[in-house]
Amino acid sequence: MTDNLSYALYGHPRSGNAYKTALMLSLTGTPYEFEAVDLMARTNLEAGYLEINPLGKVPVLRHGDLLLRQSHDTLRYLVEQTGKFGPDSWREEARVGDWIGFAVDFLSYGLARLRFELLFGNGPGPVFDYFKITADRGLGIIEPHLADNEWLACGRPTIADIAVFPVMSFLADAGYDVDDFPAIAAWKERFQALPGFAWQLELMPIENWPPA
Amino acid sequence: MSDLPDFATPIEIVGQKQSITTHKVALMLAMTETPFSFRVIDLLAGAQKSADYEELNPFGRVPTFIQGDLVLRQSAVILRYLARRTGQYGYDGEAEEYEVENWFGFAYDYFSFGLARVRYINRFMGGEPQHMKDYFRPNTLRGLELIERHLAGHEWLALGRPSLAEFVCHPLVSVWRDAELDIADYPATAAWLERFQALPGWTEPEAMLAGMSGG
Repeated sequence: MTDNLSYALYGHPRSGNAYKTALMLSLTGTPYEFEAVDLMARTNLEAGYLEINPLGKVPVLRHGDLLLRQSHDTLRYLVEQTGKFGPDSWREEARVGDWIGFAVDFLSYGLARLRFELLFGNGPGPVFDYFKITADRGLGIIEPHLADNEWLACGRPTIADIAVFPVMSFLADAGYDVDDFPAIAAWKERFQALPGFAWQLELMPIENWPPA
Repeated sequence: MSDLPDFATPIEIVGQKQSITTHKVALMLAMTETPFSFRVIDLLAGAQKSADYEELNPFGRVPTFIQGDLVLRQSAVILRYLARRTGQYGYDGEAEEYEVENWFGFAYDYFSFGLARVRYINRFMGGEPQHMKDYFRPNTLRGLELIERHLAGHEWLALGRPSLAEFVCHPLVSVWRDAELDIADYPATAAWLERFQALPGWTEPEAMLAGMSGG
């Protein structure tokens, strides 16, 4: 059993995926040590970190000697460990799975790329335009869903909301006007009111971030 | 979880014969000897936006898995479900589970967001835009380097036996020709492709699905 072992989160506040894991830890009241991985200094590609994650990505969640290297796996693992924010049945798991898939298909490979291009990449251009098609479709799916549903799945907050929130919190950085998405805005407020909610800088403090 | 449908309930897959995510699920069904029927949705003709399919799958993606009143819309969820129901290609215990699950994320990060995009542009968009193929090329090559290095020391990806990790990665890597790659550059990966294809029940998925849907 791993119950009494401590958790360590390797991440950076720039990373929406690391923020998912940090949120899950915080919302479940799970204590953890934060190990800053300085993506801007490329610490993630140095030998020490590559031993922890050969792919050089964040987050990694360490629990005892178990290393989890995919943000959505960390969410599922913490559901098992804490009993919180998970599905209660296969039917619920199917609906939570819908939105985890949405977070990959439309956010990681859509909206999050827009933010990356604008803040760290080439700015507006053909790559931005390519991902904007997917991002627009994704927003066209989630906004009406949240107009009709308080939470993404199961009628209560789940890891579906936790997987989607970080990228939604970057909406303005991705070039969108948040006022165009009132249902998303209302859901974000509900999410931010959950006990244990905190922003990425509070959960993953690191020197020199955000850049002045 | 006690709300599972009787596994004898007929299974229907709604998908597309050229879709790699549909291939993953179809191969899992075929290789676990699980009977299923296949209904075609023509993504390229925009039929997935029809009202009926939108109700079944509001995300407009394939495949959708239907067994009784259970509707699954993500290949990862479908594969986990089938492993559990058939007792095949799954994992035993936490350590194995996350070894397998790591490959789901790897496949998304390096192959869905790389090789599969290049293949899609070549097969369905007439090879353009070239700048997006260039954009996905480094990630594609990095993914192949990583899997090649791993397979040089391992017979199977996650466990000492074929698992869901194979069902997630094999259908992606096996379309290397359409992604402007030469698998001869990756000999351990080429050998692994052949090992998987030698498992009982494997069949070329696009041809299987074409046969099930009348061409």
